[in-house]
Amino acid sequence: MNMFSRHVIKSLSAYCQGQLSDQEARRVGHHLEECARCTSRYEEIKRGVFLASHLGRIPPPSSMWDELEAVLLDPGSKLSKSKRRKPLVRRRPFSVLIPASLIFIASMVVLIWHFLFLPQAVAQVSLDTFLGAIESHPKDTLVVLSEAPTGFKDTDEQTALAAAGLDRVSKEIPLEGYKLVSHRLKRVDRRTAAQLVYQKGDRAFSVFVVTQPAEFSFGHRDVKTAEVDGIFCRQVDCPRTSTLLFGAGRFLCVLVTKSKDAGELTAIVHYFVSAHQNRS
Amino acid sequence: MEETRAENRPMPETTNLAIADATDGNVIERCRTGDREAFRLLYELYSDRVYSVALYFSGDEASARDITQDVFLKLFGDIKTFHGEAMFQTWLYRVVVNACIDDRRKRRRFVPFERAFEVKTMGSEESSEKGYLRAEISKSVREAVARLKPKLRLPLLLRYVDELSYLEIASVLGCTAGTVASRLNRAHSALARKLGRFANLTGPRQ
Repeated sequence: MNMFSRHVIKSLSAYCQGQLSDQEARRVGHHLEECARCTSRYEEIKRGVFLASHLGRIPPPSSMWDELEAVLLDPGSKLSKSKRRKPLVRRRPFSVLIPASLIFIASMVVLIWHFLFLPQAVAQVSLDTFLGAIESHPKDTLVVLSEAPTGFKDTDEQTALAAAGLDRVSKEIPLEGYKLVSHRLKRVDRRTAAQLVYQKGDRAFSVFVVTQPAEFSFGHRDVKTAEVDGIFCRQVDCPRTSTLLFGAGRFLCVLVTKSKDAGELTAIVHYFVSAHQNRS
Repeated sequence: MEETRAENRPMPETTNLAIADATDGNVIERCRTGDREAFRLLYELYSDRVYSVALYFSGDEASARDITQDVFLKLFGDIKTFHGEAMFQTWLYRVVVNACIDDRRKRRRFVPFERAFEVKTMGSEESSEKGYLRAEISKSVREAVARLKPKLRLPLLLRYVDELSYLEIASVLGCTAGTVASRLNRAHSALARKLGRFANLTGPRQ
C-alpha cells in the first residue's frame, strides 16, 4: 500500500451504505483492496450494519389516536401524562429491588400465558373492499381499473407511495412503459390501504397495498395457493381479472389486472416484494 | 456533552427542499385547513416511525407514548406555520429529536423503575427457527441501541427507522454529513462489539 494513502475508516459506514460519491467510493474500494487494517474495520462495520437493520418499525398503542383526537376536539383538555407513567424512584435500590423483581417475574408469567393461550386479534379485511366496484363493470381494462373502488379517494402521489411503503422507490416502475396514473387511499378497519394504478396505452393494472398487519377474508371466492417465481401467494377466482394476493405480516398486496401474461404478473409481484424487502 | 435542540439552528440549504404545491388530496395542505380526516391520515402515515424512534431512544414505553403524543400535538398545532421551507419529513424529525432530548432531560433526575422493556411487535407469520433467531437478534439490538450515547443513537434511528440519507439526517440534526458518517461509524462498531455473539451472521437480513 502506498505509504501516503489515507486510511478510510471514517468513510466505511457511508461506503457500506452507498452514501459516497462514485469517485470517493472508488477510492475507498481501492484502498480496501490494499489495507488490512481498514478491511478489518470494514468487516466490523458490516456486522454493525447487519445488526442495525433489525431495527424495524413498531406501531404505537391502538388507543393513542383516540387520546389525541380527544385533545383535537377539545383543546381545553390535556393529556394526563402522570397517570400513564410508570412510577420512578430515586436511588434506593435495595428497598425496591425485591418487590420489583417479584412483580417483574409475575408480569413475565402473565405475558407468556397471554401469548401462548390467548388468540391474537388481527384485523380481518374483506377482499370485496378492493374488488367490489371493479368487478361490476364489464368494460375495457383501463376503465375497469381506473374507476375507484368504493371509499377510495384520490390523493397526491407522494402520500400514496408513502402509505404503500414505496416512497423510496418512487422513480421506478414495476413494468417498462407503464406510468403511475392514479393514487388513492382508503381507511380499512383502522388501517390505510393505498391503491396504485399503472397504465400503458389501453392496458392497466391496479395494486392495493396494506402495510399494517391484516388478514384477508375471501367470502364466496375460491382461492388456491400459487407460487410466482418462488414467492408464495394466493390466486383468487375472479371472473374478469387476474387477482393475486401476496406478501406477509406487515405488508400485503392485492394485484388486479386483466392480463394473463405470467411474465408480467411475475414482474409486478417481484417489484413490490423487492421494494419492501429493501426497506426491511 | 449535552445534546443540542435542533430548531434553533439555521436550516442548511439542500436540494429538493420545496414541498409540493397544494393540490386536491394533499394531506398536509388539508391539515392546514383543519381537516380532521387529514390529521388522522397524517397520524397513520407517520405514527409508527415516530413511535419507533421514541421507543428505541427512550427504552421505555410510557416515555415513547408521551413523546409521540407531544410530537403530534405540536405537529397539528404548528402545521399552519409550516410553509415548505424544508421537506416535511425533515421538519417532522426535528420535532421528534427535540421531543426525545427534552424527555431525556426530564427523566435524567430519576432512576427508572424498569430498564428493560418488552416490545410487542406485530408478529410475522414465521414460527420457524429462523424467525426465532431474528427475534432474538432484534431484542438484543434494541437493548444495545438503548445503551448507546444519545448522539450516536439518534442518527442510527433516523437511518434505520426511516432510511433517511446521511444528508437528510444532517439536515435534521443540524450538522454535516461527515459528522453523521462519523457517528454512524461509531454506532455500527459499537453494535458489532456489544453483540459479538452474532458475529457469524453477517449475511443480508433473511
